Amino acid sequence: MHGDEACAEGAIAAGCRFFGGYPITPSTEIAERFAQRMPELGGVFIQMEDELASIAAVLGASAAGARAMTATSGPGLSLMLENLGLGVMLELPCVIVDIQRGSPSTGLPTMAGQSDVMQARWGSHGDYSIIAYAPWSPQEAFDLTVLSFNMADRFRTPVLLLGDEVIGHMVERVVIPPAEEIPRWERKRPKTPPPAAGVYHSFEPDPEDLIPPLPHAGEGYRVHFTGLTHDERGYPDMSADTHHALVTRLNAKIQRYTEEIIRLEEYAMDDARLVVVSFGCTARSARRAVREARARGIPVGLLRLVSLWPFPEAVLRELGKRMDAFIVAEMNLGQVRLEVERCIGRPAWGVHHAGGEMIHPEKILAAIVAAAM
Amino acid sequence: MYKEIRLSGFGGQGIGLAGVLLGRAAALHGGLEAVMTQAYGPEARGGASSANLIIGDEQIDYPFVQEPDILVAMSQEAYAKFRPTAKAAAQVLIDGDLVTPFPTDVVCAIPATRLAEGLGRRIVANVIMLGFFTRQTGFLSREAVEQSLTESLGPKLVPLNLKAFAAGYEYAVGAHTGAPLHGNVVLCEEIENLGHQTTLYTLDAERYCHLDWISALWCFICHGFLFGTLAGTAAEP
Amino acid sequence: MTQATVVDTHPLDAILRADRMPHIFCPGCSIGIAMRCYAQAVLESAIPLQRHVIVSGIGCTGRVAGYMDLDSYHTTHGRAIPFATGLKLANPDLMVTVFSGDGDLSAIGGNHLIHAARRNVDVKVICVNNFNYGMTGGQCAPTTPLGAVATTSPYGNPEQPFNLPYLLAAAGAGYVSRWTSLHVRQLKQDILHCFARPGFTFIEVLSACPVGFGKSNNIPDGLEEMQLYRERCVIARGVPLEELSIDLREDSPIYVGNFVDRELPVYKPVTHVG
Repeated sequence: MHGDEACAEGAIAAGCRFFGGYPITPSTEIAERFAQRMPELGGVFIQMEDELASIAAVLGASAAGARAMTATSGPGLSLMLENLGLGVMLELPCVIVDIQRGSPSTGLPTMAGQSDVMQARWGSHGDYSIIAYAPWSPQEAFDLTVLSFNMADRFRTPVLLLGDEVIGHMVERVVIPPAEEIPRWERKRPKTPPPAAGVYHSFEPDPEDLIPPLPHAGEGYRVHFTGLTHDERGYPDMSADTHHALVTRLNAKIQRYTEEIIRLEEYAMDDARLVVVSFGCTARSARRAVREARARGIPVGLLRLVSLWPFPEAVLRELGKRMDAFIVAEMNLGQVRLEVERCIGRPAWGVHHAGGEMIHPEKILAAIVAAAM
Repeated sequence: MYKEIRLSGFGGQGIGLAGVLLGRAAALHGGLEAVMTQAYGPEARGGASSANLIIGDEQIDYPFVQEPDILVAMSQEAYAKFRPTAKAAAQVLIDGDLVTPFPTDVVCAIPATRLAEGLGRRIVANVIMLGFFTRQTGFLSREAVEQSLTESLGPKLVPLNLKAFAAGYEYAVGAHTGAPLHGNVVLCEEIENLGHQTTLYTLDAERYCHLDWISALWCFICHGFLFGTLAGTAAEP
Repeated sequence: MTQATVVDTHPLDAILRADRMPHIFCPGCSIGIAMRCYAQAVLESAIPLQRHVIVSGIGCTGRVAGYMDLDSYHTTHGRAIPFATGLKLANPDLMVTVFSGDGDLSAIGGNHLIHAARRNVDVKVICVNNFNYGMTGGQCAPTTPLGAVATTSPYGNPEQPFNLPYLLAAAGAGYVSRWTSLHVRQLKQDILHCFARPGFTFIEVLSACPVGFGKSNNIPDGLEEMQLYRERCVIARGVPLEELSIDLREDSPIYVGNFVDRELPVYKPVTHVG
């Protein structure tokens, strides 16, 4: 099964029953898979007129209670960023899959890139926090899509899956567990029935975790959701204090739980003096390079960023104290390296390529050898 | 074990499907790891098409085929394009009716398309080649590939494809009864009784002399078609 | 001079968010009239209130969602229709109305508007057309008549405006009407009719914006525009769609009424297999 199909199957296994999208290479196979699979499952597949509409429809479906997602690539993500912000502001859970290709602009439609990392983090206007995962295999495209839905519902927020063309189009074995073994974290829902009079507070944070329970359309809560700065009732409130409190909470509800959200994988890190940091398809080359370097006696390990956002600052700070050198390998001109350097407080080696083809293990190996000298 | 494999031919020959069948056989029934990649987009349509697999006994990191250990070529264009990308000592399997190998190349040949026509469906040439491949390369069991075929294809198509697979597999058996073929360019031409009696020819530049007239005509048609395609491609702005 | 009386209750309190009053609409604005027609229709629709959902985009009309005591979603500029599409498809029991302005729906949201019409998705669109971007102070919109003055067309609008019913009909809408904020009974009845009628429906409501549009175009008072509606509106009978353009400044008839009413297959997600 290839990565795109595995992603769609992961979503379906996670209970996603609404897909609104606009075809774009190299993510189109996700839409095609949904188009084929939704009718038999009683779900909705709708091909919208553009990416602006796709994400809007997904948010609408989420507001009506569905687990909903869309899939796109860089150019489409650029259009979706507008309503990614709305999703953050309305706190509507959904999953946005970005199968990255060579960018900017139309770039390399059929070839891989990893250069939407910063766009995923900062693309929509304003201060917000985002959750993003980066699969390195079709199997992980399945697993992390399930996780993305669970995180989205857990934190009442949009979650990004940042795949890449290599993973999207690569065919590998994918093991789909039986339905009962697919983890599912439900959305937090109102504990009280709709009030007979007065207003239900759709945005009143649960003091436990800052996340307000989510009432769905049609349940009688008479909710008001607005992209304007709003109070706990959801009513527009044009005051600096309310704005500061809201935006701070929207960030805090994610920043407070980074440990729960972040996923990392270590390889050969036990006695490592050098560490390669990589993610997505490039991490495959990085692991090969680490193996070969180990065979030459270089004490190097691999830290694979399974999650990209929130960034694992604490882990890198800690590693920064112990490691002799950092090598960041990524198919962009240094987006994750920037983050790594920010955390470790010194320069890291970079193995970068603007995209189009995977970085070859030899190049990473050369950087490891150079860094080890 | 670590094998880089490139299956190639022209669009419509089912090269991609052959890759999927092979990958599934390895990853799901052969106890091996497998990864497949394909070229995408308008550039990948028409002309030479390929499916690229790496099959190994441990997890595969870098997923792209770089220097194939095994090359399957089912069209002249694909052969000409991909033979130079493969290792000099690569195992090369060709449809002998459709591909004239470089004079110095060592190949194993099967008239897969002609055999497929014999079965009534030219479209199963890819599966015949898969049978030939399985026997020639020897790292996958016949059962593993048959199982992959059975579960990947619609139930109506399974019997014909199993027959096609057997034709390719036994064709090789007929030619040799054990180790993969070696030696000079080898073509298996005459088929008296499918899979049992075959005659081997060492091929040189006069290869066509050995073909019966139907095969010669078929070669002519196919090559003419390919050249036509090339000419058409070249003419495009 | 009539004395203004402050009252504690309003007949539509059952469906308005009284705690959000006063509203933001300017004196003489007729969005409130259109909102009232919608509210009345919702109450009379015999559809339980909890099944009604109102979605709007950005602009003065976009604020209507915030005043209705229903499930209400005030989305981003132009995206009300696709958001509503998602709501409706994920829960087909909902009666989803998009209540927004001409700029939101036909400029930034124009692509969604024509595609929703083509798709015939079961969403009811009420488009308040006041010929300009009112909230931001009277900028030129796709509905601003040729030559009309706006803050971004100080020398007169150099562009042809949209004839919205013609556009919607061409895009494949099954039901297209136009009323003005003077035609409150007809408008309410038409909204009720749309609730009862499956598929995409579009009602344009011509509306006075004395502050944004009127004052620069010699209709400085809301009442004056109402007067103009009364004098010049003609119920269209057999008028070709292409002749439905409006220019309030010219002494030409303003055609209102229902222009398109045709049975078309309503969009529903594919459910059959095989």
